[in-house]
Parts: sequence; C-alpha cells; structure tokens
Amino acid sequence: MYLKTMLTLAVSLCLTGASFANSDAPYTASYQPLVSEDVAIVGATVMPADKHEIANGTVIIRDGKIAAVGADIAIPKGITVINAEGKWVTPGIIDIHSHLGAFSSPSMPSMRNGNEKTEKNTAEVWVEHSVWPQDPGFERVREGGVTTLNILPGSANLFNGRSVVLKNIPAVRVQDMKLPETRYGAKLACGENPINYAAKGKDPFTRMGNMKGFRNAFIDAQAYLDKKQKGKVKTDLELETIAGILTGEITTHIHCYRADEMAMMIALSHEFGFKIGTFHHATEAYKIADLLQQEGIGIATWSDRWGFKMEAYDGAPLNVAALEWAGVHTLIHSDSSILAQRLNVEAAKAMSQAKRGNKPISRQQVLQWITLNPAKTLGIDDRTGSLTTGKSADVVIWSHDPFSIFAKAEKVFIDGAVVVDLNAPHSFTSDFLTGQAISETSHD
Amino acid sequence: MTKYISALVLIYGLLLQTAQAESLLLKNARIITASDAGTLSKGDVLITDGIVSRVDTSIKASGEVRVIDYSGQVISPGFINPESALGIREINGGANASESASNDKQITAAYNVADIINPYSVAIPVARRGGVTGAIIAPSSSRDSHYAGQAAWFTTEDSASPESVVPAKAIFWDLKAVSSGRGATFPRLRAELQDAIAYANNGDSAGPFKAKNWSRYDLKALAPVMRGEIPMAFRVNRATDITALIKILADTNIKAILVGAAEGWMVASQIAESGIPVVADPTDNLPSNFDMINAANQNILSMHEAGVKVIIGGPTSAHDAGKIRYFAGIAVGNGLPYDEAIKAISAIPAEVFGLARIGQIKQGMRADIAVWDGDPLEPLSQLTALYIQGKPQSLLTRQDLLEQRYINEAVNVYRKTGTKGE
Repeated sequence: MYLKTMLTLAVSLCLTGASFANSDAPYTASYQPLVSEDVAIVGATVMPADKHEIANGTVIIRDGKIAAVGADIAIPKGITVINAEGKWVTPGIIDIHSHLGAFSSPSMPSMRNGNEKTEKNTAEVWVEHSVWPQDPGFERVREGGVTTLNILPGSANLFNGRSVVLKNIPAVRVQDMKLPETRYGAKLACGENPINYAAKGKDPFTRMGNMKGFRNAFIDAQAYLDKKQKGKVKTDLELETIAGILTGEITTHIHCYRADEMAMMIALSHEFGFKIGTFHHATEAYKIADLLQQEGIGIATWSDRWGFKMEAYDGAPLNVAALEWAGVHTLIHSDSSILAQRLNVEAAKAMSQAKRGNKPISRQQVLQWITLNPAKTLGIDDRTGSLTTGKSADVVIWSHDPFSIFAKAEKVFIDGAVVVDLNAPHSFTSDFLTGQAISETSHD
Repeated sequence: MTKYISALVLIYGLLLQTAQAESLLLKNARIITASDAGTLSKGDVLITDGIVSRVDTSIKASGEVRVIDYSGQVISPGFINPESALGIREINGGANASESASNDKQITAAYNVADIINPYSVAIPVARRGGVTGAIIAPSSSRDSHYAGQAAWFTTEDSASPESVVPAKAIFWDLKAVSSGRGATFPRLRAELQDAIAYANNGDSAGPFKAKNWSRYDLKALAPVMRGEIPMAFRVNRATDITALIKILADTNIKAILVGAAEGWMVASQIAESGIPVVADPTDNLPSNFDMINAANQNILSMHEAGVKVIIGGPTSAHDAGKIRYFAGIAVGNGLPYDEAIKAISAIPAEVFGLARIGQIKQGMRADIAVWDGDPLEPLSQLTALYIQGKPQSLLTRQDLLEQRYINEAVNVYRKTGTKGE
C-alpha cells in the first residue's frame, strides 16, 4: 500500500511537473560565499567528523573549499599559515532546530514572528518570510561555531509551516543567507502545544483532536494531488506544503516528546504513505529506539533537558546514547539561542552519560551529532558537515578540546571566510547592536 | 511490576542503612577546598560526626574510621544553587504541580516556600547527581507585587528531616513583576522601605504608613530584612536600575543582593563600592529585552575584577538545579579564574546567604562533599559519590530506573546508595 501510494505520487509528480521544494524560486536563495583567503591551519588536533582524529594535522583551505586534510600535507608556497598548535579543529556546527531571526532578541511582541498560530493548520507559511537577519542571536551563535542553521517555525499548532536552511553569515537580506539547492522541510507538532493553543476556543482540544487535524489535512492533500494530476488547479499554499510531504519532496520535522505519540505519528505516516524525516525533542525516544531505527527516522534532541512540562517528564540523560547504540540517525539540537552557543558542550554531556553504558561511543560519533548527521538530514552533506576535500570550508578552530566546557571558538570560517576572530571581536556586529554600549566598549 | 516494587523496597532499605554517620577518611584525592587553603593536589579529608575534622596532605587512620581511597579522583565542596525552584515546581502546568508564587495579595513578601518544599520531588536526586548539596529555594514573581517572598535554604539530603529546610534566608524582590513603570516603582519602593523600617523598629505602634495599606504578614516578614538580619535579593538587570537601587538602599541597614545584573559590568565600580554581592548568569549575553540590551560575556569577569562578590546562578528550574557546575565552567571560559568560579558556587553563596558551616572543605565545616572522576566543571566528568553531613547519599534517580527499563546497554552503576559501584 505504502509503495503503491509512493509510486502513484511519483508518477503524478512527473506528469504535472510540480515542484514543491525548489528553494530557488520564487524567493531566490542567493547565498554567495564571502571573500576568503587561502590558508593552511597547522599543528592542531584535527577532528574531521568523517574520519579519525589527526594529531598535529593540517587543514588547507583554498577558494573557500577544503583542499586537503591530513597529517603529512605539504603547505603550498605563499599560503597564509595559521599556527594552531595546542588547539582543535572541527567542521562548523549545524543546528538542526533554530528559531533565530523568527523569535528574535529582543523579544518584543512584534518580534515574535516564529509561529503563525492563528489556525491549527498553517502549512502555508514559510519561516524565511519572518527571518530578521539582524537578530543578535546569529552572531552569538556564530561565536559558538555554528555555521549552518535550519530555521523552523514554532510549534503551537499542528502544521507550523516550512523551514529554511541558512548559512550563518552577516547579511541584510535573508535570501543572501539562504543556501541554494536544499530540500524544504515542513514543521509539524504533536502533543501538548497544539492542545494548549486550542484552549483559546479552537480545535484541537485533545490528542485525538490532533490526530483528526492531521488526517483531514492529508486527505485534502491527496485530493489536491489527484486534481493536479487531472488538470490545472488554483495553487493552494497550504496544500502545496502537505502534498510535498506526501510526494517526499518536503521532509518533515515533527515536534514530538512522548514515545506513544511518536508511534502514533508513525502510524499516520503509514496511513498516508509518507516517510517521517526527523522527530525533534523526542525526550522519550529511548523507549522506542528499535522502532525508530527500523523506520529510518532521525532524532534531534537535547542532552539532558527534562521535566519542564508533562510530556517531557520522562526525559532521561541516556536518551542520546541509547539512540546511537540502537543505530538511529542521531542529532543534538538547540531550540534556543543560548544552548545553540554551546552545542559542542551539549554533545559532550551526552557522551559523558554514555559512560554509564556498556558500549563505547567514539568522539567521532559524538561530533557527528552536531555536524555530519544534521548535514545528512538537510541533504547538504555533499557540501558541508565534515572536513572533507572538496566540501565548503566551514571550519572552527577551538581553544580547547571542543568537548570541554572551557572551549572557545577562536576562529570560525564559513566557506573559507573568517566570520569570527576572537582577536578582533565585534567585526560582524549586527545593525541592532551597533552603537549600543556593548559594542562601543570593544577593544578593536 | 513486582520486580519494580521489590527494587523500590531494596532502595528504601539501603537508604535507611546509611542513616547513621560514621567516621570517614577520604584518601588520596585532589581536594578543591574553596577555602584560603586553595587546592591540594593530593590529600585526605577526615570526617567525624558529620563534620570535617581535618584536611591535610596525609592523615593516618586511627580508631574506628572507614577509609575510602579516592586515588585519581577529585573532591569538591557540595555545590550550592543560589536560586532554584527545586521542590516547589515539579512540572509547569496544572494539577498542583507548581507552587512557586503567591496568588494572595495579602501575602507577598511573607510568601513562604519553606512549608511547601517537597523533599520527595524526583528532581532532587537529579540535582544531587550534579553535586548540589544545597540550594536557595526562591519563589518566583507573584502577579500583584514586586515582593516574591521568603526564600529557604534546602539541603538536598536523601533522608529529608525537618532540618533539611531552613526558612527565611532571604526575601526576593522583582523589578519587572508589576508593570507600574520605573518612575513609580522606585519612589514606592523607597516609601515601602521606610514603612517597613518603622515597623521593624516600633512594631504595631508604627504608622500611619505612607506607601500602602500593608498586610501585617508582609511587614512581619520584612522586619528581619530591615534590621539587616537576612538579605533582600533584588532581581534587576539594567545598569540604571542597579544604580537607582544602590542609592535607595544607601540610607538603610538592608543587606542587599543583586540577582541578574546582566548590565552589571557597566556599573561594576559602583556595585563594588556599595559592597552588594551579585548573583549572575554567565549565559546572559543576548539582549533578550531592553533591560539587558548590553548583556555581555565579560559581565562576571568585569564585576569580579572591579571587586564585586559574584555568585554564579542561572539554572533556576528545578530540573536544571544540578547544572550549576556547567555555569561555573562557562564563567571560567569567559575568563573568571577557576578557583573563583568554584567559590562562586560554594563558599560565596554560603557566606552571602548566611548558610552556616557549608561551602568549604575546612576543619569545622559540615561534611557536604562531592567526589568526581575528573574536573567537576567539565561535562566529561561524572559524580562518583556525594556526602551530606558525612553521610553517603543515594545517587539513584527516577531517570536511572526508566533507563534501566528500556535501554539494554544501561549499566546499573548507581544501583546502591553511597559511592558508585560499591
């Protein structure tokens, strides 16, 4: 049944030539790498994320790309050499769950642009239309080594809207941060949030009401696809997004905490023949790790947040390790402009908990939770997520082992361009903080 | 099901077993004393009747004493969370899961968390796992008043007794609780303090009062603050609010504490001159509102360098109480000297909140001691044992039990009370 639906949908897609997920049109992704210099980073412990750590390694950056990584690399003549002896080098961090620019600082009511919670289904909104590139959160998070962000809308309704993938560079227009040729995501939410939102007099009022809302929307999207196949129909922004989920062109990011609710969402995906991409938060994922592994669903979660609401009460600090042990595609996310500044520490905390298990987890696996694995989820692992020859030079030089609480990102490169340099602070201050006392007192 | 019940019975039995304090000699550990003695690279701690009776590079066991070898491990004081909802907020939301603020207009400053701390909260063992042995349990803002209420000192011990809670260690006040506007807030505060001082001096014969129609509950609660017996903790962030408060408090005997002080670095010398200590969150570095547009990474370091006594806070939620060690680590990453960061979550909060005989590993201090397999501020380190008043504490959490139900690889390292793997 599942296969058949998929085939039908694939055929219908070819016939209509519909394109649900082309991020280039009509709000063009016009990200261009900033001007960069060719450099050789030498002497550091290099952590490529896709290979073992290299003691006293070299990373060569040329034309904004990783040109070479290894222990015995010849330094090209005339290239600028950065001596990183006693330091660590990793790929840039990717935050798979960010609301930067959408829920901005300062959080004036007028700046709460992250969730169009006017109806249970707002699949038609695109979060990129809310993003304010001057949110000071972008620069703070950049100082934490985050080079790529998956911006998601908030979770107070069932269908929250589309996500967008941004390179974390200073820019005036969001289009100039938007990475071309990425797969769109749709954010959905189950559990408490849609119910609490509905307390203001609208449905859903219960968890069964949540499921009704999901099912009706997918039934409508199926009918929409059928109509499209038969001829021209007026474009419906809401159904375009949901139809994109059905055809597999749009991946899903589903906010869901409890194991039973994740299982219910899996059943929903079987009913309508789509594949769930990633459950976010998923504090009870450890209870159904095998099911998640069989379904090939990724989990993006925290290391040790729990108890802040009823559906997070059973959160446990061995969650991340349990998923890794079960072979689940595992990611650590922030959902916070504060946590996002230390995703390396979040990963370290989860690794530390794994010491209570009888199965080791390698430092390489741990680094992947915040680099290569989110890159795979976003379909950009051909371009970033590891220190691999030919990929974008999204690189962080750390003062300490990145799994230390004392680690500071001393230099951050995005496509080879230096965007953070601890020796030249505030070089990329947002317009908002420019001229404020905090920027005036910098030592540059 | 029976399996779980018998497991619970077993845990209870083990809890009871450890109720009596024995003499202990903890040997061969790196000892972070948080006292003037600094850090001993290798040393011993002797505990008698729940009190540290000696700290030295080498102590010979004599008489009836249990010797525990902690070679390669690190001993620190039990940490103190200076502002927490531990025991008063199990979960946000309904069903009586949260009791952290007053809804009674007559009882604001007098709101008393001491009577409502739940020692059976499942968040408490999680806090212990973070090496936290003490916390200031502080009420959150009430809806109608700047006065949040009376905070208590809670000891996180596994066998809670009436002595675990010491009431009225401070009264918390919140600038932004009521949106009357600063231009009204500060004149009113000045008048209220004058009224409260008059009541503290003259009791019921004081009055008529100027600021408002006081409830006697609130005036009584504020009296020890006005006499300088317990501190008043002011939740403020903006630089101008800090200086305004310093001015208002100058004519009083009030022992103030600033909580938040995100823009403290801008007026660090004034704070230092006033002698007012600060509880600051090292993760406050974003302009999340216009009271902290200039929140900065260097805040804590700048205040420390100016001579301000800084306590590290931040993880105020009940579930995050044990994360205080990471917050100290973040402050170190931002330049605060390591020893200062340790003191900022042990000796300094103990001194500022008047928590007698805790916060340092020193002769005569209560033996509230954490043992770690590495640097206690590092996420890669884990707690291996915790002592409160010299008694080994249960480190088992509800989370452990859930993990053991579902995760095959979960090894039961904290199954027994006391030291890990014992």
